Amino acid sequence: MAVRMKNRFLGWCTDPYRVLSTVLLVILVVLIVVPLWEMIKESLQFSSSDARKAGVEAGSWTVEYWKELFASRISRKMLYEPLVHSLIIALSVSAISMTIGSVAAWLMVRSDLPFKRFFSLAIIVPYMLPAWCKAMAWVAVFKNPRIGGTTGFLSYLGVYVPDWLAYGPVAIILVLSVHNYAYTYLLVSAALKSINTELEEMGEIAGAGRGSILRRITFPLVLPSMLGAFVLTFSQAMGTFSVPAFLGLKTGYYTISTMLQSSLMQGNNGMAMAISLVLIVIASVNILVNQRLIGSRKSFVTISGKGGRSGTGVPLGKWKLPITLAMFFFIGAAVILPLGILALQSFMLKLGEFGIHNLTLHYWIGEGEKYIANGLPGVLRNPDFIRTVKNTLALVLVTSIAAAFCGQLIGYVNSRGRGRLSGKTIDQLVFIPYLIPAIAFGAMYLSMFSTPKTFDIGRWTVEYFPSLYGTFALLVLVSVVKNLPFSSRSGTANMMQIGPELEEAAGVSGAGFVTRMRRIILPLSKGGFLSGFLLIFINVMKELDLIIILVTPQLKTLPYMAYSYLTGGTEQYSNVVALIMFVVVFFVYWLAGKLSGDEVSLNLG
Amino acid sequence: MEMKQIELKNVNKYYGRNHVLRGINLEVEQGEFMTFLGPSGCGKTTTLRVIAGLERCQEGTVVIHGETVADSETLYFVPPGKRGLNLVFQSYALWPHMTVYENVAFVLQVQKWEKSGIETQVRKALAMMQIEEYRDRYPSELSGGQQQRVAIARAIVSNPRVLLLDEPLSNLDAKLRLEMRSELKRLHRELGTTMIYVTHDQVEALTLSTRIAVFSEGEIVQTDTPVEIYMNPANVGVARFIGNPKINLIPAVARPDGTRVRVSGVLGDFVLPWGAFLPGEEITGEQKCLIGLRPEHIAAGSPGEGPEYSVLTSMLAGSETLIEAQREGERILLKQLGFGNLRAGEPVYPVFSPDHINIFREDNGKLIKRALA
Ligand SMILES: Nc1ncnc2c1ncn2[C@@H]1O[C@H](COP(=O)(O)OP(=O)(O)OP(=O)(O)O)[C@@H](O)[C@H]1O
Ligand SMILES: [Mg+2]
Repeated sequence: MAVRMKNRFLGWCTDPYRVLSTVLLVILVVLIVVPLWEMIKESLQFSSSDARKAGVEAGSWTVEYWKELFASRISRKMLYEPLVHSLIIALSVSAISMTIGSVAAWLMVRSDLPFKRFFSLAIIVPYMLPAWCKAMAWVAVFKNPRIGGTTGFLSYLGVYVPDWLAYGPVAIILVLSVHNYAYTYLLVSAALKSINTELEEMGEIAGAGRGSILRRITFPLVLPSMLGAFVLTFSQAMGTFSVPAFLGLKTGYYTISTMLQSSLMQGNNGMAMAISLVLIVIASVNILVNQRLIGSRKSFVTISGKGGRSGTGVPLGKWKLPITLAMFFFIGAAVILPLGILALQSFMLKLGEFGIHNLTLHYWIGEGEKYIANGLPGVLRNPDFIRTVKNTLALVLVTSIAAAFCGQLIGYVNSRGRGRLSGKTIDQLVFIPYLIPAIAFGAMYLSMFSTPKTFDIGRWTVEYFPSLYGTFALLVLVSVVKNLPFSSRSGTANMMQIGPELEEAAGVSGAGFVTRMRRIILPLSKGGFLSGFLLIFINVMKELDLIIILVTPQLKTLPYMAYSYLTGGTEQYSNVVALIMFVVVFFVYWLAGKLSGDEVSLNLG
Repeated sequence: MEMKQIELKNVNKYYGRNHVLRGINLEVEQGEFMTFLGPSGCGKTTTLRVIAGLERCQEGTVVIHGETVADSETLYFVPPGKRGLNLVFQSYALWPHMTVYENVAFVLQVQKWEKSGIETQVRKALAMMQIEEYRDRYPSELSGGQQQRVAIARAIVSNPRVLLLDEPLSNLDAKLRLEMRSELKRLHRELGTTMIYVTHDQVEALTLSTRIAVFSEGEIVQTDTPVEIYMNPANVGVARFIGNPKINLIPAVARPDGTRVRVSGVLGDFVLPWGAFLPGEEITGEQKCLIGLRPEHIAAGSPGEGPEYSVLTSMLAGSETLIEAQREGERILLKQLGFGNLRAGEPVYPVFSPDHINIFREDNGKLIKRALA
């Protein structure tokens, strides 16, 4: 009996899959479930200041915050109005991005649209530029004098810009749509590429017209991907902070995420956590509904492999010219214009004056001059900038490598653990950060790591979490965990491709687990690793919402630096920083393409 | 006279600079079972796609049932759905989001049939392929063979004049292939539809077709009945490609000898009448050539009847024995009925009838003497 137990234990310990999945499970619980629990707890406990006011002990349980949020005089202002705003924004953004992204994907993958090489690059550029940069460009064009400060380009030309266009929901929705269609585009074009063109050709042979083929064959086949993109876009738009902050706060247009941030700023953490939880619940409901809709359809895309011959693609005929022009117009408005405005503004001594005499290199390389921004030198001469660049690159590199690596490991466990409880649990756990809007996620980690977390066993106090606030490690941790859904998806897809037979073949010839990993799995997963790495790199490089409440001045990143210049009223510095950031992202994307020999797919699904 | 169902005239197709079809000429009669046979990458699928209208040729014309459906001169191309044909892809290309019934009914729905008409017609097609019980399943819930039946049912449901099949059996296991082969034969008999069938399995081609078009590097090198292709391959390439075990190709020299032609080589000397050679290929001087001789046309004679070969191997293949023998470095394969009792190293004396041999020119590989049946 004892021998049996011992052998079972030994067998368990030496099964690499078991050990790996257990370790992962523990780590994920600690990094995802515990913070979530802390968040719930914080929304249900008096903070020290509120406790004093209420005359109770700090940390005693209460539903006061929830009551205030849902059923009090301020509920309308605190919750219901912002919630309605957020829902309007998220739904509109999802609808618009889904339309733009799917149409663009079809044109690029299936039609004979000219200049495909150019478009395929240009169309994902908006994704490389932080959303708030586009908000900034929007303001530069549409700003009207009513709000005060400098004038926008149109007002300068004497064009009257109505308030509803300059600020508020319309502006927010348009800017976010231009930012978010890339998700749909990437997911749907991946799906389209994986659908055998013979399926559509059979429709042609049956005599169905183009429209009929699109509606009855192509559309149902990509629908699961479109719904997946909807989920993603919706939860991104719900949780986005910077754009509604730029384009909404000035006119008092609050969304649930800007409300969350302002509660945090006022030190009203209990309330902030409650708002975050509301956001999470909404995102979860959205996902559940979608999973119901997708249901069994999910498997369509994968059952038919590649095949057929795309040739030149579906001829657009007489629509070719108008569609091409529309594409150019769109790229112009969504890509060139924002970049151009950022660049132009960075050379403008005074904003709002669009003349040659007003151009300067001061914000790039100028020495400090007293009358400009209190003597702040040009960005490239500013030691603070150099430090920030180093910091950002360190954060981004460490994060993307760590996340891509974890992604591959989780992918390995997922793909080999299909049907096992551990595999499924890990799959679900990893998905949670996806549900939590970025700003709420930041808040969660703030509440988790601002003070050491301890529990008592008898006389001993065990510190199970140190206070990480203000450390580099915290930024890495939060970025890695938040990006796990992406990296593990790409890892899973990658490991599925590798297939267990390859590994088993090596196992049969006597290779141990480590050898198999090193000689078979890792070399084969290089491509997937790279695309996982790239996705995270771009995500983290421009990330602001997630870290905005965690960053300390010593650990600034480029987006944060640009953001603080902007809120500090020295917009040109911010433009310079944003441009440099874009160049870095673009360069890395280009380099990854060169290194891997072909087009790197930003594999989202 | 039978009606020409399909005519391809000088069809040329390029993919960029890659010249894939080089002047294809082909005529298919009504009700024929025409097979395209050839090695991988020789343009069979491309030809099929040109006929179907999925691909536009840069030169040449396609005529179906007397109507020009593709004319590259005038850039006139009839869309695939209006050519009165249907297609079965190698991958089957079943629509994964539709049930078997919906897959099969799609064509009829597009053609705006009445609902009741669709129902009966689909049921008929499913019955014909013996898959009625799967009508509400999705393709992913079917086995390979069942999927293949659905693909065929979908192709025949609208009674096309022409049915194009691109290697429909290549994904099936050996047993199922045999079954489906006779199924296809039955289908052809029952429907009377003109069929064009792509394969690189020569047994399939020989057993199914009324005629075979042999492809090589974008050209059709021979179009003939299976027997004719087997007996008189148009060139050395076709001869090598058709037949298992492979044909023997033995070098020899032919020269005029009075009113006859003398052929001499490792196989010994024999004479043929001057008229045995094809018109325009008469032997006027010394001509190097290859003798094509099928193993089953060689017998083991008694000593002195033929040249002496020494046995290399003797392999039992069911009811017959394959003997490989060698003389002066040239190998020969002969097939003997029954169980051979020859051992390696023993002598064997192959005998054959000059009537059964093909002769090919050595320089361009063309057939210059036909075998007589
Ligand atoms: N879309 C394409 N672009 C460029 N070349 C192509 C394309 N499709 C096919 N080819 C080339 O055309 C030639 C003929 O291809 P085809 O598919 O007709 O061959 P096949 O005879 O059907 O071969 P298989 O038996 O392997 O199916 C091949 O050399 C192939 O490489
Ligand atoms: Mg083919």
